[in-house]
Amino acid sequence: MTEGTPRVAERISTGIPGLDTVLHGGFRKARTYMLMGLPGSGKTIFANQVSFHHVKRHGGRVLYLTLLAESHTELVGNLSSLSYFDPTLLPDAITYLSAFTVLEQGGLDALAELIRKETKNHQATLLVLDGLVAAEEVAPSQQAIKKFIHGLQVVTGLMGCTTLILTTGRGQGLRAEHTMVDGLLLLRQRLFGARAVRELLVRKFRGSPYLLGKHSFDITEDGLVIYPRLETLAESGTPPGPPMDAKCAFGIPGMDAMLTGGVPQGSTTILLGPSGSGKTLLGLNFLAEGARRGERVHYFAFYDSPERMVTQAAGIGLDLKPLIDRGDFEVSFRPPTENLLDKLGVQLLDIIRTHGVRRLFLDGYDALRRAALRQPRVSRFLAALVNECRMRGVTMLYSVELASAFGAEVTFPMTGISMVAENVLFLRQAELNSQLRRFVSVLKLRNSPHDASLRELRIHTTGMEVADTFTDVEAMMSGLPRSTTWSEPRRPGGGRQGT
Amino acid sequence: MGPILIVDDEFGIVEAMRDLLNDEGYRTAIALNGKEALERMAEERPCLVLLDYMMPVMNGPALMEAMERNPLLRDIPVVMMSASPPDYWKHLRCAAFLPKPFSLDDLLGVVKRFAQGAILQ
Repeated sequence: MTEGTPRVAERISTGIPGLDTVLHGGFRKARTYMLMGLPGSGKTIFANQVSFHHVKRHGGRVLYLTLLAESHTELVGNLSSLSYFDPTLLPDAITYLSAFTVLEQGGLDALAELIRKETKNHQATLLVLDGLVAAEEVAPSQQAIKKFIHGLQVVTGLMGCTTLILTTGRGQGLRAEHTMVDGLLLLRQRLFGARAVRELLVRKFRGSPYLLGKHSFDITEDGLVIYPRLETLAESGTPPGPPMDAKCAFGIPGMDAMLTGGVPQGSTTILLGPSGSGKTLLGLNFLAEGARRGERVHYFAFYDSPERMVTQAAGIGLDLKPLIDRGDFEVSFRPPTENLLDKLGVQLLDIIRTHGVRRLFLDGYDALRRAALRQPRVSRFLAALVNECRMRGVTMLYSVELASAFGAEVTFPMTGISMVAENVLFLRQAELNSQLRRFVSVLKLRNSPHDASLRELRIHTTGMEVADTFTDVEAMMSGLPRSTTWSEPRRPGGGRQGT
Repeated sequence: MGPILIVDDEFGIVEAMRDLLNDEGYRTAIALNGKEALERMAEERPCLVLLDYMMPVMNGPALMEAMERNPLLRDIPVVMMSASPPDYWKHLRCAAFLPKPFSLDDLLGVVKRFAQGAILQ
């Protein structure tokens, strides 16, 4: 005779955006988790967010036990500004109790008994134990606190109650008792110069895969929002891939001719050039052409607001407003102040996965680089993004600004190009006969024939034009062109000699 | 009526089960292996044995054999608790099985059926 069947660990969603993704579906029911972080790291907001969600979403009941000598009135008062807070759930569905006196007077045994009885009395399906540090302080030995945690795990496990233990860890790092639980989540605040960044790290999560490494998070008026690292989210594998010959045109005849019809669909192209070389306008043409063909396109900008972008495009005869109004041309604007790379990643993935976008123009590699905080990361981030686009047949362009507009030396601001783009278009300006002339060249176009010449890029009030090659000069790429008909070459820093 | 004897080598589990059953008003005794369990049974005949399968010194099936050989113990109902698949324990003559992990409701359900008399008045 069997009284029950072995249970497949049921998941309970946390209600914290991004966290269920990191935990592959949320907490495992009836397991014990520890949340560690210094004061101000967001533990209480986290625990209460999970609590309110647990009641609203799962119809559960929460027992919130505090071990610290702090007033519940104050705790609730601080929470009331958060959107998830709902006073009607108190005190029935969510019960706040103080165990401070019980712990102080009766020690760990009395606390264990209180937890056992109150969890049962309240029929709690989620227990929050806030302030383990207080229990650690009264524990006669480290062994005693380990025994207490183990007992708590067994009892709440039998009761089917998921448990969340909050602790500062006394700022002394991880100890054995912290690793006894089924999962350990760390909340940290790190300083990068004057900038502070919040990070979540899952150190342990028994019985389930999870997303390794650090994930940025914000504390907003809605509570915590976690941004899982793009590198851990992007799909891997062999892309189904569009037909090899499918091309995405720019709608600029000369440009499309250079590319034998356009860039391959699902590929990623770098628009490389200094400020003023025409990268943004070329990218906007690319998007507009897609939208005209009935594709949904997205402009992800860091430097130009939507209004400024529309005006700028109108200045070259590109009327984007109708395309935007009918919803085919989407625009996102993220001023390049204190962006979080992971947050940008989540937004970009959402655009790629849920908007049905076919073309994406990310205007500003430099802003990504600054958001990365740790410089080597940006290449991995881009590689993941490129792969995601490839998997979903999204054709992406992104602009990379060269630091120097003139001069023989061109320093490429990134490494591992093959990892982060299939194609590279190089744009530059050069002085010819006391005039600045723009040109464009195809440095690389993977698996596709292309015109390798340097062609003039003209920007008119009626549109962009990719014109002929320069016939009477050479060394344009160096930024220091010289006439093939002149006897003396130009010298850097000086005027032409012999003219 | 005798107590409910909980036999498991994991002290945390034994302690938790003991406390939870005591909270419900049941009288309990504990042992950490089969040999200790026989000693407890010699002191006081239990009304129900909650028995773990895998234990050091004397495991669950060995204890059941010993109980079977003893006319004073052979009719005590035994509830086997195990995380092992049914192939391991389905041949055993137990009153019930509690596959681990089980819930408090499962535990109380089986205890209520076999040890109603162990509730302290």
